[in-house]
Amino acid sequence: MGSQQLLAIGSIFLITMLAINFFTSNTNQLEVSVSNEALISATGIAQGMIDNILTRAFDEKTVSGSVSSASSLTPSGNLGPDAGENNVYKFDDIDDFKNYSAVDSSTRLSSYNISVDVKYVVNLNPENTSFSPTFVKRIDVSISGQYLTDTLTLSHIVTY
Amino acid sequence: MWSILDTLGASLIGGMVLLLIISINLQMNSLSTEIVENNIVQSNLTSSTEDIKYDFYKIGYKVTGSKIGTADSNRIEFYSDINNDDVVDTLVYNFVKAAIDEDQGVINPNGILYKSQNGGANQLASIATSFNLSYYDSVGQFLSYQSLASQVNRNKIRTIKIDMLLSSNYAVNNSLQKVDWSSTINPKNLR
Repeated sequence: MGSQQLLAIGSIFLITMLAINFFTSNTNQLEVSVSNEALISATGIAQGMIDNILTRAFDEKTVSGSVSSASSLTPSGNLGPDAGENNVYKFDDIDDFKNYSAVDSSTRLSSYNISVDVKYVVNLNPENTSFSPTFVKRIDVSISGQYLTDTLTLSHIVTY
Repeated sequence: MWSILDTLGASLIGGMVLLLIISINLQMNSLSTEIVENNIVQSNLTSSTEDIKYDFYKIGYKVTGSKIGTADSNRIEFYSDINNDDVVDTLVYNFVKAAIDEDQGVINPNGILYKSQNGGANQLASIATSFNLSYYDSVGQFLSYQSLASQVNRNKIRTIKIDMLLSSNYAVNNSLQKVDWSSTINPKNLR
């Protein structure tokens, strides 16, 4: 094998390396595009869910009345659907959605698993959970799906 | 003799390298265009949906009578004091499938979502491939479009679901870049 052939074979090697790098980079970009689309869809679903929850009363005790002391609200251990509230359309207050889960398969890309958590949080520090009733509740809507790189969680603070 | 064989072999390999470079270049171009088109569609979607959501959330704001005048799968007319100037405005969102504009090289049969306010001229709200509205009452029951011909039933609307699909204007590798968006809106003033 002559020196010119060796140089030509060397160039094939270099071009192959270039091609591999190019396709790896493009595959990564396509994955990012798909992930972005999934994120847009998931955000829309989560916002819709929060919006739906916000149509309810702050607490079971405020559905048809008013409360002046936080201790009169539903105890933190009892948050969740009340007796007889066996489907989402019977939920009448925010915390009925605690531990609610559903699957949304209306989007083109894939279906998304929705899970909701509702908890009392410390009045001036909504990052911290309160184990006694307060006039502030935090709704966490988490969405997971095949094309999401991680679980998406949107939080919303509701005050009474 | 050996030198001739060396040159011929190198030319052959060189030709293969050249073909490889041309092939990679073509694929680079189409993949890059695909990614750019996809980003454009995603960007269009996020900007247009912000405006749509803003208007839909304000359905019925400062309106005392009926809040929705027309409710169909691709057309809605509603009332709202959208500018907060104590004057109730009439807003219409209407989706129309657009004709294919071959002169412009547009091969995607996109549609146009128009918005008009108080009977004014149609304004472009978004370019979309499909746009669908679904209406639900207070217990989440789907309200059929036929039933929504009646104002009594339109007054029962509490939730509106918007499904929108956007596609790129041009196909890359014979496929359009698509992004869909779905949102469930519970306008405060329909509660």
